[in-house]
Amino acid sequence: MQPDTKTVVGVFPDPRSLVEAARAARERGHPPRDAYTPHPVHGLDEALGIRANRLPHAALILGATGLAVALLFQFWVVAIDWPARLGGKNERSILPLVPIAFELTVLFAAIGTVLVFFAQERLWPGRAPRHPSPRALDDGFVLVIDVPAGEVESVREFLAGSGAGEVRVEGGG
Amino acid sequence: MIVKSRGRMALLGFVLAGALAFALSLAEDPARSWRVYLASDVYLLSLSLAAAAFLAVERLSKAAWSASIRRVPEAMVAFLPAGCLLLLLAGFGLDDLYAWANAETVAGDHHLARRTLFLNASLFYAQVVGYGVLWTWLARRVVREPGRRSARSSALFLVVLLFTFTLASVSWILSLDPEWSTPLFPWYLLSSVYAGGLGAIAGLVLLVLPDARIEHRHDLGKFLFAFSVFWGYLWYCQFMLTWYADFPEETSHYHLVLSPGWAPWFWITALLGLAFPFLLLPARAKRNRPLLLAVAAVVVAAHWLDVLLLVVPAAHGSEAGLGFADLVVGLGFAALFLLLFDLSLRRASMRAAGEAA
Repeated sequence: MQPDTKTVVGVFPDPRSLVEAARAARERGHPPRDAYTPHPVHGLDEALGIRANRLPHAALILGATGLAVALLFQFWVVAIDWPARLGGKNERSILPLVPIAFELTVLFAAIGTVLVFFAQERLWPGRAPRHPSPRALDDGFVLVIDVPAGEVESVREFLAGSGAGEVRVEGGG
Repeated sequence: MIVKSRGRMALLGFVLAGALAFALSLAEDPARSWRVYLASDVYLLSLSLAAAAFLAVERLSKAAWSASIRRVPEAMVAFLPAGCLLLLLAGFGLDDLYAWANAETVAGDHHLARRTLFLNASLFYAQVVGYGVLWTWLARRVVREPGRRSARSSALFLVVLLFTFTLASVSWILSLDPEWSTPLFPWYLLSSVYAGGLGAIAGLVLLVLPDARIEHRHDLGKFLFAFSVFWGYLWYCQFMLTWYADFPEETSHYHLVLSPGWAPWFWITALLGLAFPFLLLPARAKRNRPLLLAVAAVVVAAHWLDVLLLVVPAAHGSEAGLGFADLVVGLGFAALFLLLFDLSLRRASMRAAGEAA
């Protein structure tokens, strides 16, 4: 962040005015850095101009890894390391391996994707919270915009004018 | 509104062609044609139930998004009483359909004789009439009642449906093959018809509400994807556990459907019902209208095939595989379903009251 950059934080009372303000801010050349809300808000990522991220690719790779691990390990156990013909079934059949392969696919994809998300967002236990306003955990819909020092007043007025009940400027830099 | 009068005439033509094909095949091989009739009717009847169940679930989960597409599942419920009436007509084929309806067969089989306490003609008719009245009455309440009262009816409908559908699936479908027993059967059938029902809802929404919001179409695509995978999961589990345990009373059905004449149909069903939606509907592809429409149509067809495979193969002495006549009978039922759907749709505004866009 540039030393002469300030952060303007606006707290809106409802999701609709937040989404409208985010869209308007982008149109007037002040794209918001982020928004913080108590619950998911429909259409917000579009209004903020957030493009699809690559998390699904991570999920796909992790799921495929889980599938491969489960199939290879089970096959090694029942067919290579300790082959046993049970109930007349061919020990090389993959039919009985499928349920565990399915479970491990889901397990790897689910837990792995959450871990990748934490790493991507630099989140870990004990990390100091970065909330611009605690009201985002309760009843506030918070929009955060980084602006050059000279434009702080205009952005502050814009946020107040578009329905923000509380507008704060933070030092930045 | 949706179907022009020429379209309605075409649908009527399909209904007549289906009736004609059924009449012709009845003279040739009654056991088999009654089974195609039963499978098609029970499938479309279940699509109506699935639509009502969808509405009930949406109401109970207080989902607001589906208000804009409600009219489609509401109109799908219109087939429910007609489907039950047509099932009552299957009474004429009771002898050809069910081993338990045949006094001689029952006399020679003491296992079957014990089961006639539940499997008998009067109880068959009582169930068709009783469930028909109960389902129609409750589904109407789910569709028509507003707000809080509808939530109570929705809960009642879902509980009643799970119990009655379990009994109905055993007495109408599973009992066709007296040698086959599988504890998963009611769930399996339910997952199949619910996936088919979601396919029908998604497909009909795309057809009659071309301006439905893209997010709502996306949500329907997600439902279709999820329940297709759920059906695939049960399809595999039932097969795999049966294969693993290898009990004669459980494997008889799989011996039939994996015989050379039926095996291709068995694999085609899995391909259309699971592989197609799984591979063709990844994340954003659900927003592609032609693609979603095609997958929805494929899923509806796949579950019709699935029900046919539960019903037809055990018909004694008839040829394996499905033919053109079976397709015409199925299309006849589908056309009747669409006619009643259209009739019901034009009675109300396409948009639910109080719905913005």
